[in-house]
Amino acid sequence: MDTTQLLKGVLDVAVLAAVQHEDGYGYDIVRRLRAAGLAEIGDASVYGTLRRLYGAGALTSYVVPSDGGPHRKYYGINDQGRTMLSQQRASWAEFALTMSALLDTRRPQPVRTIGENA
Amino acid sequence: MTTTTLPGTEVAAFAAAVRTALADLPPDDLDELTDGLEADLAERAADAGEDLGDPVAYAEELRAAAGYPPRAARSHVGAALPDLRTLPRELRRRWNALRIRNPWVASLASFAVALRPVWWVFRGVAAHTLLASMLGVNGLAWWPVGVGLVVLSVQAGRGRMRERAWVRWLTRAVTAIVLVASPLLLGWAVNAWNNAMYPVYDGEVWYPQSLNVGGTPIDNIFAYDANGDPIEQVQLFDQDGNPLNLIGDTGADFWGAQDGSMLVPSGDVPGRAGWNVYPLAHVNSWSDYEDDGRIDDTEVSETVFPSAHVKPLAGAVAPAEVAQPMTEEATTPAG
Repeated sequence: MDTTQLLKGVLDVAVLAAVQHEDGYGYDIVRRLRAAGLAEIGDASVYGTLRRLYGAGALTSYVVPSDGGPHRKYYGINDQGRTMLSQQRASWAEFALTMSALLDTRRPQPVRTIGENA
Repeated sequence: MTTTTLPGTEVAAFAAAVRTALADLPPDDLDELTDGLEADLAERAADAGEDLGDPVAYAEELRAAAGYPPRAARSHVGAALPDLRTLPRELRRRWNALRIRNPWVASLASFAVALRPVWWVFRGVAAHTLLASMLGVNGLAWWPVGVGLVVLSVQAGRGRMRERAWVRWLTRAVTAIVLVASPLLLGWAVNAWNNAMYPVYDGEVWYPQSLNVGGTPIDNIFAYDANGDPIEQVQLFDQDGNPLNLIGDTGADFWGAQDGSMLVPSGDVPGRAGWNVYPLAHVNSWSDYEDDGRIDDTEVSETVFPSAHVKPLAGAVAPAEVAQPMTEEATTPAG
């Protein structure tokens, strides 16, 4: 299965989770997500998501100048972001449980036929 | 902070391309979306050592993740580089729209379509000219090839043999070459036209070897004084003091006159042939010269002036008093 397709649906929660403990700048967050195992995540997708979450009020943003190089834009989570993260965490847990149950090979779903219990 | 290994210019160019691809967004959104892009790109490049990839695809990913709708028309004005695969279709679509909106464009287009056969012929002639100049042969001498190329060009234009792919590709290639070379061809044509109007001679510059006035060759000069009397001998010099000769080769023994007779220089000038002493004397009989290859004085005939007298100038004094001094003055060399 194409993991990038799956990633699209969980980008928001993944990015929120990546900044929940520590502020970070764009590539820093990409690095955290990849280190966490999301190797196929695209940087542009992460930057775009950061921008969208910021626009939605879930993140704060500030610019840090760097010595002799281009400045960095840092993102940090705020209360609204934390609320969003906990909601999405719950949704994900439920969704993951459902999918895991559906895909679990050890307990195949019995096929019911109409009239079987009659 | 990781050290940047990628040249900053490459990162800057990539970032600029990304911004260009997103240029349809409102400026504030664009700034917001691409703020800090250079730092991230530089670090990624330093980290992964990979090349940055396609900026347009990158921009699209950024745009989609940020929640902006995808750009509607890929190649509207001000957008990024058009997609080459869809470009012909897109151009055709826009052309059709333009034609529908503006009737004058449609009539102009149909006029141009009517002129297509002219273009076919031009393409054939141009291909011939280019081919001839490439092979270094005289195009005029190979005119049957030119005729053949014109026929082929017209046939291709009429859509004959179109089912063969190579014919289509060859036609396109020739069309492209001719279009590119047409300024050159026009230059040649203008040049050829100028050459036809104002002849220039290749190689050595050609100077006329005799004096011409309005196309009429001047064989001889007859001088008359102020009183209208003929001057038996007059030396002529130009503005630089050089002898004014009617022929270029003053070493020649004789000069063929227009009437078939031979003109010979005066023998009275010390040290050189007196080609500037007028009137030049005639040798009447070719045979006299041909017998021994020399001209004797006896063979030189008396010079006959076209008129015994001409009208005296206004205010001229009586001939007896001034004829002699004037002749002397005229024979004094100027230089």
